Amino acid sequence: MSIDLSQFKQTFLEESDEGLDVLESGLLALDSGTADDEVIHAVFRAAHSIKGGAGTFGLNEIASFTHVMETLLDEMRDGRREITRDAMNVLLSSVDVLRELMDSARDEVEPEMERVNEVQAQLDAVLAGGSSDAVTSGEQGVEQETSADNVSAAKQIAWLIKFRPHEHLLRTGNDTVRMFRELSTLGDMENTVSCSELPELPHLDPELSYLSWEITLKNNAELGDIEKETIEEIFEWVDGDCDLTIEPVIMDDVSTEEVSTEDPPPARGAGSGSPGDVLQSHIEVLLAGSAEVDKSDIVSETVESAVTAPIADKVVPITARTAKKKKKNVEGSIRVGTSKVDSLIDMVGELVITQSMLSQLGDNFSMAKLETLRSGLAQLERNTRELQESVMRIRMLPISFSFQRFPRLVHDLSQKMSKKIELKMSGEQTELDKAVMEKIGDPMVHLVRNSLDHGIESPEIRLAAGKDETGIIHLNAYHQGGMIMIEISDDGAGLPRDKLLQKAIEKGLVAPGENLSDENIYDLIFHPGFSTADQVTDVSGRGVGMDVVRKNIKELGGSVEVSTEPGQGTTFTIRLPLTLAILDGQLVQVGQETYIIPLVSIIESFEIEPEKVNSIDSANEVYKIRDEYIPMVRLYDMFDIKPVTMNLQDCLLVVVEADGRKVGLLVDDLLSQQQVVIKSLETNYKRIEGFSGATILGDGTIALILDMSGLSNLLKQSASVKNYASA
Amino acid sequence: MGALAVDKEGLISFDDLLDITMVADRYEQLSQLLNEHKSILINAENIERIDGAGLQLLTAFFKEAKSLNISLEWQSCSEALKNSAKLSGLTENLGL
Repeated sequence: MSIDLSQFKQTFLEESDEGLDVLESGLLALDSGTADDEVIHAVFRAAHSIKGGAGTFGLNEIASFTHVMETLLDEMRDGRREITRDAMNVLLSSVDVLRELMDSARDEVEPEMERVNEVQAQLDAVLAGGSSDAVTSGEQGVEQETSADNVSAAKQIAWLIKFRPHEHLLRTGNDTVRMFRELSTLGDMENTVSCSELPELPHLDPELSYLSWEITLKNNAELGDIEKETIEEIFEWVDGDCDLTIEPVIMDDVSTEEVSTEDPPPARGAGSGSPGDVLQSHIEVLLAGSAEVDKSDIVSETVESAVTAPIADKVVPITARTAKKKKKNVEGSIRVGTSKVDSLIDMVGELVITQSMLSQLGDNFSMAKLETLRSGLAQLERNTRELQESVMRIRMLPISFSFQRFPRLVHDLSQKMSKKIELKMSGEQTELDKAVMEKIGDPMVHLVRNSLDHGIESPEIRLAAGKDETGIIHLNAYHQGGMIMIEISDDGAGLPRDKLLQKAIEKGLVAPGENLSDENIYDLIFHPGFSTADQVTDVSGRGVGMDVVRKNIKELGGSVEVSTEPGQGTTFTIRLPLTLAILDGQLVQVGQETYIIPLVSIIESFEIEPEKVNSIDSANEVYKIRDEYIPMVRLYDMFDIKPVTMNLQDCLLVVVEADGRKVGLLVDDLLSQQQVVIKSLETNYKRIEGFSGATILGDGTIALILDMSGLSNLLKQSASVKNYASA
Repeated sequence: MGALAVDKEGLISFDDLLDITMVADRYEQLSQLLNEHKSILINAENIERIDGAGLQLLTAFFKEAKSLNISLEWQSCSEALKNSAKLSGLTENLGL
């Protein structure tokens, strides 16, 4: 029976993504010295799993690259190698390379081998340098060095493999032919069998193993150097089921001289030596020549040629992959906890029961059963809502998925900028919609980079200011009023108020002498092209970004605010809706139209008392609520539609929060509250300021959904136009 | 699993697979052959896959035939068998 492994490939890639996250967070913990022994074991296991899976799915570049990482991690795990910052940096770069290789595998495109080779060379250098064996001492060390010299001096190196399977090996499902075939792909193989222990036929147990082999595996010019690890990998599955020695042999034209040491460092070269490179180079050679490889020729050829058979097999799929360079659209997927799925199944069960009950009712309905029908419909509505909530919960993921990229970012950038920074995270389990999470990632990265670059001071400056030399960046998330709040705060220098103002005046954004509140001054950082950075770095300071951050967050139906305390630090607060697909809305009537106000935006609503309405000027009205005046917007006026009534006492005021301030919206009537499915205006029509989307109501009519931030902007624009007109 | 086809003249024909899952059966049949024939001809053109256990059985079979002075010859042999034997260093032992 053959199994189609491709169906599991996507799962492997997804699991590998998680494995890479484990690798990265573990390496960062090791680097910061906060890790215990379990961390290095977890890191090793993650690398090992990726390697194993990649091998299974024929992702040879990934398997061979991870193998080198694994070797390094293994030495660290066993305490044979010190955990140094350099090694950590190379391993972290390796994680990046693996991510790229995974992406290539996912998209079924050829990976960029240049970067892979570069990092692999760095890994090799780490492995070759700093004694892999801290315990190596005296003689052994000298002997190893000598043999290494011998090996590197030799042009042609071979390996002598002595392989004696234990009796039961064949019964474990391992096949010697398969192993020899794999070996033959590495180089030119000479295999000498010993049948001395093979009993006479009457005494033979055919399922036991009696043969043993001595195999000489020579480097092949086309296939490149053979690594000992690669050979060991082939025998990995029979570890413990055989006697195996792998020894280096220096070959010359006439004789074979065995090197004295048992385990010299294998020859590795930058960019040429990994099986991936070997395969790659061989494929290139094959592709350069005739593409056709006739399997029937293989056996009749010499031993050297025999190695092309398995390689040639591999050429076909890889060539096919090259041919379709086009990036494949991979459908995204999410992992869902079984409790959420169970809840969904329960809901569907309830729905089926209700549907069945209603169906039965419909078969022999009479007016006497009207109450039962109503009750059934109410139950149906409840079931539908619960089902909808359950479905929506499936899309909710903890924000830790987004947070987990930051330890690495902070690690890399703090090193780059020679700053000492500690990253704290809290509220990682706060859930939000996957779509929101995917879109908030980049704005968050920008804000964190900004804090790193502009916020946190250098250790010297911090010490001089009486602060701890290590700065703190804190990521925090929590739910508040149906929104998710994400705070990015630092304990840095804070925003330079005067510098911001000065820059704004220079750029003509603010008139000299204009009286601006601190809040407005700090808000200038979100203005396009605004930067106070003295130096443009590749981290930030070009004045592009903060406006894009705000724009992107606004597009998500959220907002971003900044608060700062000179010398104490800065906090960016992002407010986002939990989901982009459905919102709880208040239906309001304005004229003959129905609009929807997101329920989360509504603070309160009440009948208007006309005496509390005041006009500031011809354009702007305010409404007094308790001791506070808030701007009042006549929606019919703004949307240019005919109201039901002009009598203020017959109208209602809905107080909403827009961009952090209260605004009163004058409407004709409050209708029902309901959850509405948001249909994108941009997709179906075009973006309209003041509206975040539209929905279809139960009666089939379309209602526009008000966007509070957009409305606030419209209000400002409208006020300034009117003021200008009346001036 | 089909039985080994043997005709009266001592011609044995293998089917497409000879691996660990069937070596016990083939062992019995091959041992029997050595008791019945002084000359054996092997048709292995159908063998598409043979593993280490299969090769070892054939090797022991050839060794035993030689010690019993029984003539053992290949009528035909598949590429898969030749290739596997070559990889395992058994070409000579199997007279290929």
